[in-house]
This record gives sequence, structure tokens and C-alpha cells, in this order.
Amino acid sequence: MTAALQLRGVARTFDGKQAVDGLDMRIERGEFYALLGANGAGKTTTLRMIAGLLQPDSGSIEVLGHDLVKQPIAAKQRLAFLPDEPLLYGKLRCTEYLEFVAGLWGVDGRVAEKKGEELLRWLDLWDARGNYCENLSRGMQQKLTLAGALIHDPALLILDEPLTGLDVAAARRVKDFLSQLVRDGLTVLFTTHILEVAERMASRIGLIRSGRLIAEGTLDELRARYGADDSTLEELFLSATGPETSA
Amino acid sequence: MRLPPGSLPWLVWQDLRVTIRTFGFGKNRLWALGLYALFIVLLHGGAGMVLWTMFKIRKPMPVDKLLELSGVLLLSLEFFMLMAALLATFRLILAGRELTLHLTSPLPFRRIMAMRVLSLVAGTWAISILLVTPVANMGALLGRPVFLLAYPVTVMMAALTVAIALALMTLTVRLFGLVRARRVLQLLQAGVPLLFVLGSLVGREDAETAQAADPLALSGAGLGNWAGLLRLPALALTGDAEALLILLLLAGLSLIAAARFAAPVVLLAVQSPEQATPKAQATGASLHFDTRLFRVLMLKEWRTILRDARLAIALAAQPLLIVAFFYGNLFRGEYRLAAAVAATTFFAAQLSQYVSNLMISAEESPALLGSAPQPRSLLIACKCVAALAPVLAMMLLAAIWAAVQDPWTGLVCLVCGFGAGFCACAIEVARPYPVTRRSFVQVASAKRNRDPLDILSVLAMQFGWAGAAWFLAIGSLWGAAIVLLVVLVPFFEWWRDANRQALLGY
Repeated sequence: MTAALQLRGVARTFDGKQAVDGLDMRIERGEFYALLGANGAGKTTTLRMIAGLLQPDSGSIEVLGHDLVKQPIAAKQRLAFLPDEPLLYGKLRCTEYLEFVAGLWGVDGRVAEKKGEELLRWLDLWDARGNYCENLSRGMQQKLTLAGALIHDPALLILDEPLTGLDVAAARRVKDFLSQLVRDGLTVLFTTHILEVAERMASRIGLIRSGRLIAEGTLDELRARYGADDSTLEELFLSATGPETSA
Repeated sequence: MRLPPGSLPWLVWQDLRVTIRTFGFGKNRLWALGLYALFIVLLHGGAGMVLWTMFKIRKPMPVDKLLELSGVLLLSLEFFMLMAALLATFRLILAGRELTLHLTSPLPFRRIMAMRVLSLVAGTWAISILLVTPVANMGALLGRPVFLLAYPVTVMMAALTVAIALALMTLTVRLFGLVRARRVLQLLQAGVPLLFVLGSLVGREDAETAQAADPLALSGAGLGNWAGLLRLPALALTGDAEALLILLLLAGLSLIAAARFAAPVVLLAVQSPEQATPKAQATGASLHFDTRLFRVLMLKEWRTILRDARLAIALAAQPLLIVAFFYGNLFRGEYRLAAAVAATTFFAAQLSQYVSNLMISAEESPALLGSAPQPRSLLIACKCVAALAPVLAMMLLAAIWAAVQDPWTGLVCLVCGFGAGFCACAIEVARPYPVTRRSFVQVASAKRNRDPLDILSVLAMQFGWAGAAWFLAIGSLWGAAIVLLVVLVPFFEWWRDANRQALLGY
């Protein structure tokens, strides 16, 4: 079976600075994969390349068996991307936003209506559905972006700092929601600075430094490689990436 | 000289410095500065030639005629000032966050408010710089130092205008409350250009009769009918000391009074910004989606523009003022239909350029479009259709109106209006200027990274099509030659592209 995501020797430079340097990564279907690294390690650049927003200078990216450069439309069809800043239009109402996103992904109107209502109710946004996006709180905006990302029923969800700005209850709800989606077969690749979230939710963790994957595996595999059995992810992270860095 | 930190002059300077720095010159600073300097020199040259001709050829103008002429010019200027002042005042209560930093400091609110009011006056006066500076300077250089009075007179007019804007804002908030005041202020702002157009058109027939008797009758210019409204500043411009003093007192006192009454309203808005934002009501019990790509893109584009008060007002005001100027001042004599077609063509070019720039380059969420499974060419094509459809529909109506009076002019209007619209859109596609919506509202920021040559290309296209329409409408083949040149502008921009499309982010 083809992998959900396969990166081979992906590299990208900005003004001579190597942001991603020959990155190899494979994520199987149904995995919950956390990509961790210090600020400037190349996480966001990697995610933006996978989402098709940046072209890699070299290497290849395959999404569910489709080459992102050669077959961008087919690759993006089953992919959803949530950057750290919500992808919203301030002057659209929540329902108009969902309708717009469904239109972009070519989802049939009736299917989108049903899915939209389900998502809005599940994410506690139903009562706010007539509000302009700009009037929602940061947490609600994040949840609405998530609803937009899921309206076309993606197979691979890419999340950059998905819990930024969420309060405790909303964060818990989103975490439960994502776990449920992974149990239903969705593949999730996410970055976070909250290592406790990665520790509890991820089935596999990748550590990135200077645009290269320096370690990868389950939490137990990383413990075996870098520390004692009772090490926290934070200790493992610092051990792997150096004491000066932060998640 | 070092201004004491926290003092009023220091605060005003800090505020103005931030504004001035939005006028960036991009990477080619020297080239840009050189071009702007050349532009200002050319303006001075043009003003100098006009004034020199007037001084040489004309007999001294009767005082009444001079006052009327000054009144028309000042009235035109006043409309622009009022637009700017209303927009800035509007932001004062709706974007109160700008004052958050100041309000958390130990400075007294009165001083902060004074700083903001003085900045408003400076910003409003700045609208007149390009018009006033060349005329005032060249008039003085040609031996009429009285022309330098244009500086203080326009500053006092700016102060009066800000006072009017503040009074309107205060009255609106007091009458309708903070939430509804937003809508009412939007209507007021939209009403200013409308008033300008109506003012230009009312009484035209009488004016034309008057003009037949006296070719110099300014009342034929439409706005001449209302020039008397600004008799005081017009009188002050002629050097009348009494008028100058009264204007100074009026401007100063009204500004102080308006600021005094506006202060609590501003404080209220800043302290409760959520009240200034209208909340939308819940929609029906179930969702109804129609997800055809062109439909959702078209709706998204126009909703995000028309629901944004500042964008919508800028959209309505910019071309309207230009057209009003053409219609109000050139729409007479045997060439009036040609002038109308030229103005309408200019309007098509300006509007298409503004809307295309907003839709294609100022995309609010490029990452969403970039990650969507749609080719960029299709998305841009949909955006072009969304931008051009209303403009072309308006041009069609204008062409029908012109064709009823003269079929050839109608055809010229159709061809040039459509050509100008397509060209403006094509330039944006060939060489887009990525900006955020936020910076787009502040026009200076939106243009900060623009290469001056790009600005010249757009101007050449706009004036080229308007000129072509004029010449073709009066039956001159020069128009056809100009058309052949202006259709090359988008290709020129495409040739200079330098991969700017990649900067769009989608």
C-alpha cells in the first residue's frame, strides 16, 4: 500500500539559507505524526511544501501516491492544510466560509451542507454560524478553519501549531476530535511546541534540526536511543537537539 | 532640536513619522526618488506655464470672477479633504486599537486626543499638497507672493474639515449609538462623492444659457453654482486680512470645540471596541450550499470588498470623484459627448485596475487558495471575470446611452471602455503586486514596493485609453494610433514580470 506521505531528498533554500536540507520522511496511512523542532528548524517550510504552497528546489513529495509537482491537483484533492494563522476571510460569515471552501474542493452542495452542519455542531460553532469570521474569538476561528479543512473529507491533514490560541476546553475538544479522526483512518501530520500534546497523541515523532530529520520513531524508540526509560519528550528533545534550543 | 518625550509636539512627530514611513520607496530608492522629484518638477513646470500664460494674456480678472474661480477650485479640494477626514475619523472610533499603546501610558488623554486631532489635520491637509504646492510656489516665483497664502488657507480649511468630520462622528454616535453609528458613517461617507456629482450637475441648463451670454461664466462648470459656499477661504486667498483672521478664528475654535466634544466618544469606542463591531444574526435552521466554483469565488470577492466599509467607500469614491470632475467641468460645448466618453473610459480603467488589484493581488487567504486542488490559472481567470463583469456591464450601459445620441460615439465608448477594463486587468495578471487587505486600505502602504515604472505603466494605460476615446469620439485618427500603443502596455508588463506571480502565494 502506498504511504500517505513520502518525502525523498526534499530541499529548499531562501536567499542562500538552507531551510530544508535533503529531508526524507515517510508517513503511513492512519498515523498521527508529530514533527518537532526548534524555531527556524524548517518545520513550517516543510509543511508548506507538502501543502503545495512552496516548490521544493530538489527532491520529490508524494501525497497518497501522487507526485505533488507532476500531479498537484490530484495530490491536493485529498489533502488539507491548517497553518498557524487561521485561513479565514474576516467579512464572510461562518457558513459562507464553509460554502466557499467546499466550492474550492469541488464538494457537492448537498454533501457539503450535511458535513458542514455536522462539523459546526461538533465544534460548538453552530450558534455562531451567522457571525462574520472577524467577530469570532481566536479559538473559534481556529475551530472554524479546522471545520473548513475537514469539509472535503481529506485523507491527509497537515496542521501547523493547531492548538495555538485555544482555551483549555477547546483544545481538549480539538484533541479528542483529531484522535477520533485518526481512529477513523485519517492521517495527521502536525507540528507543536507543546511537547506534552505530542507525547500523548502522536503515534510517531520526528525531530528536525537545520532542515534535516535527526531522529524518528515512537516515544519508546526515542527513549531507547536518547535517554532512560522514564525520560519525558522534553528531555529527549533537548538531548537530541541540544540544550540551547526550544520546542 | 530634541523634543521632550511625551510632549504634544513629540507625540505628533512620532505619529507623523509612522505615517511618513509608509511612503516607502522599495529597493530602487534612488530611482524612485529621482522619478518623484521629476514628477514634482514637471508639476511645477505645468503650473508655471499655466500661470505665466494667465498673467501674460489675460487682463486682470474681475474680483468676482477670481473669487468664483478660487471657490470652484477650493470646493473641489474640499470634497477630497472631507473624504479623507471622514475616513480618518471613522478609523478613530472603529480601529481604536491604534491608540491602545498611548492609552496604557501615563500620558493624559487630553494630550493623546490633541495629538490625534493634529495628525488628522496634517493628514487631511496632505491631500492638497500636490495641487497647492506647484501653484503657490510658481505663483510666488512669477512675482505674486500672495499665492503663498494658499498654504495657510488650505491648512485652515483642513482644520475646519476635520472639525466638521469630528462633529459628524460625535453627533452620529450620540444619536445612533456606537454600533449603528458605523453604518450611518458609511452612508455619510458614500454621500460625499454623490453630493459632489449632484452639485456638478444641478442647474446645468440655466448655466449653459448663462454661458452662451458670457463665455467665461463659471456657473457653466456646475460647481460654480456652489462656489459661493467657500467665499471666505476664497477671499482669504486673495490676501484679504479680515477674511484670513476670521478663517483662522473659525478653524481654531471649531477644531477645539469639536475635539472637546469628540473626546468622550473616542474614549468610549477605544474602551469598548467590541461594541463598535456589529454582530451578525444567526441564519436559517439548516445550511443551503451552492458550491459551483465561479459562484463561490465571485461571491467571496464581492462580499469581502462591499462589506468592508473602507474598501467599499474607496471603491465608490475614487472613480466617482474623477468622473465628477470631468463631467462637472468639461461636459459642455461641442465636445461634451467626447469628454463624457473619455471620462467614462478613464472610469473603466481606474475601476478595473482597483478591483483587479484587490481581487488578484490582495487575496486575504492565499494559503487556502494555494492548497486547494484548482489550477492557479483557473482561479485567476475566475477572479478576472468577477472583477470585470460589473465594470463591463456599466460600460455597456454607458455605450448605449452614448449611442442613442451618436452611434459612432457609442461604438467608441464600447470599444474603449472594454479595452480599458481588459487592459487594466491584464496588467494585474501580467505583473501582480501582492499586498494585504490591511495595507491596501492604506494606499501608501499598498504602493510602497511598487516600481515607479509600474505606476507609470498603469497611468499611461489609463490616460492612454481616455485620450484614445476622446480623439476617436471627435473623429481624429490619432485615437487609433494611441489604441495600438496602449494595448502593448500589458505585454510590456508581462515582459518585465520577473516571476512576480510566484509572490501571490497561491
